[in-house]
Amino acid sequence: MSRPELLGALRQATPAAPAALRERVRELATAASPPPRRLGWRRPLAGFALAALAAAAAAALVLLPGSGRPRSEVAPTIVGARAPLPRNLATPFAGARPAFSPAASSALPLPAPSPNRAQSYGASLRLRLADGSAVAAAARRAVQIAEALGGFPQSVNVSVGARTGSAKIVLRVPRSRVGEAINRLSSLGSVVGEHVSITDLQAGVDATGRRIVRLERRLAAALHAPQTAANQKLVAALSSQIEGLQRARAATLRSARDATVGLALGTPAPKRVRPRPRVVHRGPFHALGGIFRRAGIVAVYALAIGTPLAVLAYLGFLLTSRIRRRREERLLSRS
Amino acid sequence: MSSVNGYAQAAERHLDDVYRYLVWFTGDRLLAEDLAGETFERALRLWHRYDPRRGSERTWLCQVARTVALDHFRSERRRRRREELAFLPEPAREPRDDGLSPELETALRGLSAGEREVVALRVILDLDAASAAAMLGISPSNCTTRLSRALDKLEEALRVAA
Repeated sequence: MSRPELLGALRQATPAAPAALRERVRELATAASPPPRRLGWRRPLAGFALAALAAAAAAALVLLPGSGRPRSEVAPTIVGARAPLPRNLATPFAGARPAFSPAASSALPLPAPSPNRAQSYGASLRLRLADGSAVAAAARRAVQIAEALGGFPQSVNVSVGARTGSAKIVLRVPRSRVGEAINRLSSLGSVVGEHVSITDLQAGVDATGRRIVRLERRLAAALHAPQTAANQKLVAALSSQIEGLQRARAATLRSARDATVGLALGTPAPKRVRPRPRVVHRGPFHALGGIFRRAGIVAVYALAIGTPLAVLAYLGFLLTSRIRRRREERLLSRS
Repeated sequence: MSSVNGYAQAAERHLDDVYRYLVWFTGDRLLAEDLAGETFERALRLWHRYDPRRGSERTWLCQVARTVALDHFRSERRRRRREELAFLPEPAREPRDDGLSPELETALRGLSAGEREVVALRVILDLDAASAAAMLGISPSNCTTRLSRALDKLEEALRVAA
């Protein structure tokens, strides 16, 4: 039998469904109504994926530079005054309170030197002034104050520019008038720092005096003794030693007579303040950008986590399909 | 079309095709009748899932019939295993009695269910290779090869019988 003859013979075998079966199927169709259509899992999944993609796209639009995010416009400003000053020493700057103001004085009462004891008294002041010309004027005035109080400038170093300036001045002022000097110097500008150091020299002066007295007694004894060569040498040594000690004591007392007052004058450096973002009035839908951004972040995370899971699920689906097909083939090859 | 009327029309129109397919697939007329009834019951339950864009009504009904038949084969295999343990004899198959020559019927009994299925789909129901392949879950070329081998096997059996 040839292939066409075989196919013809096979096509002749067309059994028709029995009447009983036909009747049964008709009854099924007429009697029963199909159950209501259920919502499958594919459409919600596709909808969710589309929503996630839309959210990710919206987030990308919002997050991309130059798209939607308001830019802060920088307007550089120079602050000349109102700089923060040290606590308790801070006084308003010269812009608010003019230099040479009587109110501009030392913020803290400084310890005064003792009038009865020899002391090394040192004080330093840091003053802030408005500009370079104020610094120059204050330096001149400081020298005048020192000279008026019987003192003198030990060193003066002034550097003045157009808007800024600085000066370092060391004044020697009689110790008895140092309080007045500090008060008058403090009025030259805004005090931003003060320092005082007091070292007592009286104990050393007293010890030197006692040593001189002892040496003088020995010298007197030596002078009353017979004048031998050794004795003459001793008298000369004692006299020299006493003179040295007396010179040293005098020098110490001389140095203690004047106090050293250091004065640092300066102007505030122009400071760039941190630019403030310009407040822009935004519309009622501005918050949508933030919402889209958060939704986009969530969508990106969902995609990052969901994509490997989806790939795994697809691979599992392929594997189970293949296994099922092989089982079917095995089953049908035996039946 | 996804309504009761649509189902009724489709069932009426393709009942014979489904029945023929099952007769060829199982090789047993009574069994095919039972499975056809079960097929249309299941098809009624699943009718809302039918999508005309994915295939014709006939193909979809045959797919449902195939699932029903495969379930039957699986349960038969389990039953046979149990009966093999109990040394029970294999029940005799109902003859097809559909106008085939005795030689051809004997040759057909030599084919496996898978081979009979592809002959039924391609020759009896006259499905194209793509539809038959989609239904079997294989490629069209694989489907054609399987049909060719089945027909070769039939020709060889008929030659031996002659």
